[in-house]
Amino acid sequence: MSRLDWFVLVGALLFVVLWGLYKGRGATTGEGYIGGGRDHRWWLIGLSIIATQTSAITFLSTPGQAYVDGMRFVQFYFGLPIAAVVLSVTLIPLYHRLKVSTAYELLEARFDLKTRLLAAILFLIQRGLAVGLTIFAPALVLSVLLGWSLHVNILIVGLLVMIYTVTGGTKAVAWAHSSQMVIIACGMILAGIMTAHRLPAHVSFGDALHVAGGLGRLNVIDAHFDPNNRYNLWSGLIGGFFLMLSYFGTDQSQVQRYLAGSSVTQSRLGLLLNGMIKVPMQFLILLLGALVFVFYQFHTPPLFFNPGPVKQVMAGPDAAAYRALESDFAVARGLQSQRAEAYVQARHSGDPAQAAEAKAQLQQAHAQSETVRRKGVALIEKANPGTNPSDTNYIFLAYVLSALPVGLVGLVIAAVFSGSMSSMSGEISALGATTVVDLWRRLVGGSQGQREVWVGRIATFAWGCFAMAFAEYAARLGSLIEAVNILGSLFYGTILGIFITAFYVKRVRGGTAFWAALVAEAGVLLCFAFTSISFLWYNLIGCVAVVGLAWAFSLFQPPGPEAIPLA
Amino acid sequence: DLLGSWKRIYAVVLGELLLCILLFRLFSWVYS
Repeated sequence: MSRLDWFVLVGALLFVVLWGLYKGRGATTGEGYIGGGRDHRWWLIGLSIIATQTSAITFLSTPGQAYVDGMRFVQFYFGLPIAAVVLSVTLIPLYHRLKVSTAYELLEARFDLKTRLLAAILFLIQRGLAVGLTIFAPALVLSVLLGWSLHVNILIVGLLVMIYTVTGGTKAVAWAHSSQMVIIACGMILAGIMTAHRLPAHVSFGDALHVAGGLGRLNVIDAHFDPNNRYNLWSGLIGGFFLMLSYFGTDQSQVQRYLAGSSVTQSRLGLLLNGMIKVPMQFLILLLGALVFVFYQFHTPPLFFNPGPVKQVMAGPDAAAYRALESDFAVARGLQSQRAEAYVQARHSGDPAQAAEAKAQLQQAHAQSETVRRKGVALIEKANPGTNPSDTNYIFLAYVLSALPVGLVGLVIAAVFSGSMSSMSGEISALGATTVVDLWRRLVGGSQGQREVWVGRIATFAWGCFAMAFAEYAARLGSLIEAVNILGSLFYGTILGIFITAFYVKRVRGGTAFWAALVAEAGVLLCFAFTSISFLWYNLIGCVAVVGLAWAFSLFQPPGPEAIPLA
Repeated sequence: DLLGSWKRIYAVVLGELLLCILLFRLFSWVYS
């Protein structure tokens, strides 16, 4: 990091904090603090929704995913635009009509207090743990690649977020999100342009795409149905639809963003803006990863991008074997570079047969270097037992640090910090709001005046401290981190099922939905423990189980008053 | 409480998704 990089990084982060503080000043009531004054326009809501969903790991990991596995990850987001349309028709008008502050208030109006509390507590558990990982994962990457202290990194991100989030509430979060999205967009667009420029002069953008495609990195759509395959067209359209329906419709960290809209129209347009931007945005970030992959066809990459586990190998008995593999890898990659050059030349010659032959030779060289890399990874696994050594999260930032010019490195790292901060601020703000509205206001009987602003600030501050403490602890979790990451899918289906029952199964009343949700959640946990079904499908399984069980249980419920109709 | 009716807006959002899927498929095919 040069002096200019530090200047860009510190300047960008200071701007975000001061902008959030300035725009978020003046909340005098609980409604103003939690609801953001309910005067947000559609573009501010849209940016805030995208920023909350975009964590730092989104654009550290996504280019790495394209480098290692190709671009099929984009299919994960195909359910999002459909979910945005469904929510615009159903839940958004209802939330506005009932003037709720959190998604879970609606459940008490329709069922009872314990169903509301169940949904609120499930949200607090899974989101409270996930927010810790949101700041831990990028902090770990930065600490390994830049040698920064992990603890200091977590502390800086946490404190910067808390300055404006605790002070200004939802309004400060939304305006800070808008500035963070500008930093993220500038960083990623400039990194993409610079990566295309860094390719050898005779390699055009089209050549680069042919090299990436020839080596299987542009496999965007996989129409083959396989429930155990995480990313294909159907898991994205069906499993992804239920996940996004639950995330945007019932997760307070997103619901709070569009509840701040000044009207149904503004809230709808904000959510639909996200539905239109997200798929092309993810495609472009993955394309950047594919370009980094092509860059390394003409430059030799390290055998493994994460230097942490490599140090363990070099300190053990396999150090000599690993060093030998590193030199084998350099030789194999040298041959691969020559074959990539030959493929580009063959394409320029205009002879299809020559191009096809050169492509086959490039694929063969790539397979050989991948074989050497796999042997290296096996040694790393042996030296780091019980962990899942992966360098996917490290590829993009390692590339940025080694290949991009001074100034742009600082901007990309500012984008990483912005991603961490944008997710954390949206999430602790929602955790604070749910604690105040669904627990304090409902169970303690708190009022909505100035006192509630302070209760909101204390709750948000407490969740921020919990997130930082969990991030510090996450370093000891090892592969349990993956379990925490899919925690969302373990609960989302059940919560969505409760909401769908509230809407469409009118005969279900009172505690029936509560018991159906508990049994369905047990079923989802059994699926997680004893089957290999991909986690995206848990959203569908949990949702269908709640609706089906609630209907079945309602056959045995005692006669009572008709439920309040929602739809 | 842009394109004159909500149905038209929803059609644009879903149409964009369909267009993305078709273009991505074409993109994969051209460069594979």
